Amino acid sequence: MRVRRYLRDQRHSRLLARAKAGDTDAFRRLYRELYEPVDRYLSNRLQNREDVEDLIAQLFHRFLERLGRYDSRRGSVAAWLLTMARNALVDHYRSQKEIISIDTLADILAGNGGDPLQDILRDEEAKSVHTMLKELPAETQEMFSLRFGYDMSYRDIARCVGSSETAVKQRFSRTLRELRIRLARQSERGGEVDYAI
Amino acid sequence: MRSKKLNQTLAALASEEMSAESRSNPKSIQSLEAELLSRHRRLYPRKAGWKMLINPRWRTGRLVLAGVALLILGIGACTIPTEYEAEVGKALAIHVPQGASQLPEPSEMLAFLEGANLADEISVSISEQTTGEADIKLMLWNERVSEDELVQILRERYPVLQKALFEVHEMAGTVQGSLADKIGHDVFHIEVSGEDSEEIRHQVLEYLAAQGFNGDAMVEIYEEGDETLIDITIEGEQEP
Repeated sequence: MRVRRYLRDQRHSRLLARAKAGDTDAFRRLYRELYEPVDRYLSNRLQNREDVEDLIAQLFHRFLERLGRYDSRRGSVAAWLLTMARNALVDHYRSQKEIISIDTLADILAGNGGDPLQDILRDEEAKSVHTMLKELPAETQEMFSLRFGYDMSYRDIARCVGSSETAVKQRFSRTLRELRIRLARQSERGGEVDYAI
Repeated sequence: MRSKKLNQTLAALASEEMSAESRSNPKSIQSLEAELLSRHRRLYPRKAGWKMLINPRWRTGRLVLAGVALLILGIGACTIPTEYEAEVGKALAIHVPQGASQLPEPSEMLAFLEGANLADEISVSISEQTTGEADIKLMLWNERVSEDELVQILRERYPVLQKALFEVHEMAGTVQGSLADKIGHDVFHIEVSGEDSEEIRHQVLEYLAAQGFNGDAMVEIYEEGDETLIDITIEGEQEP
């Protein structure tokens, strides 16, 4: 997964550099590769389909205007775009003039508006993991979503959520360790002996 | 739960977010694409020519690239009679014996050289060694400056190059007649970004087919010293 992510990120960087130099085909390829992850990110966090498509359009126009601002030393192109999407989402909710609590906003950013995961949740183990994930702080849930759903590096996640890479890694390490401990205890209570920490 | 299984479960749960098909109407995706591409052409007018890039290969020390170009070493077409040798540019190898940390970023050097309008296409690569030495490779396609002028310009701009060793080589290729007619004797590059020779060969064939050239390509990737070279040989017939 790391090699695939590295190749993908390198490809996107090259395409962006070419797009900046006037290669419209390179920009087209970037748009087509990045449209779906952006669509899914926003669709899992917004109820109204029209709002999603409006935001996607705004986002890609902004992305186009800011090609020259991309700095590869700070993270991948995909992470940069998803960070913009995240910020656009926050601005969108603020502009609705509803009073949104910090917890609700954090929940939205964690992507908790999706449909139930029926097929996967038939698996009891996955069900346990899913339940435990939902009990985690919303910011941690968002980090897990970005890591496992969007295959982002720790550095990119840090940039997206406004934290440091070290803090993100520590959060993952601690959370995974706690998950494993809880799952091991649960299985002991259930009489299963197949698990280990 | 073992680490690997837990990671797999987490990935499976997260993949639900990714597994649904795009909910956007295909027409709206295409409509937005057309709008963006039209705007892109206005915001970022295209420079003439193409560029050939490779995936950077990391060496001992630090290798940083900006717009690296590869020389096409030879092109042959067995059915087209017209061939000729053409000088296509100059390649400079600059060895900096010390002070590598004072060198600019390749992108800065590239921006300076392009701003000075010294050639149609320029590429820069800088390889720094942990000993403080560095090697700079410049390629200038259709250059508009003599060798001596270029060395003087670089030394004036970058004092760290005062004691550097410069070697200048002509870049030349055998150009097939009808291709040359089509592209007007301009230097051309093919965009390749593959990780192995088969992937690059496939991309070369796609490019040639787009030029109306149906044939076969042989691709060899090899390393010579600090350079990674791609040798592309094509053979075939060209569509009228």
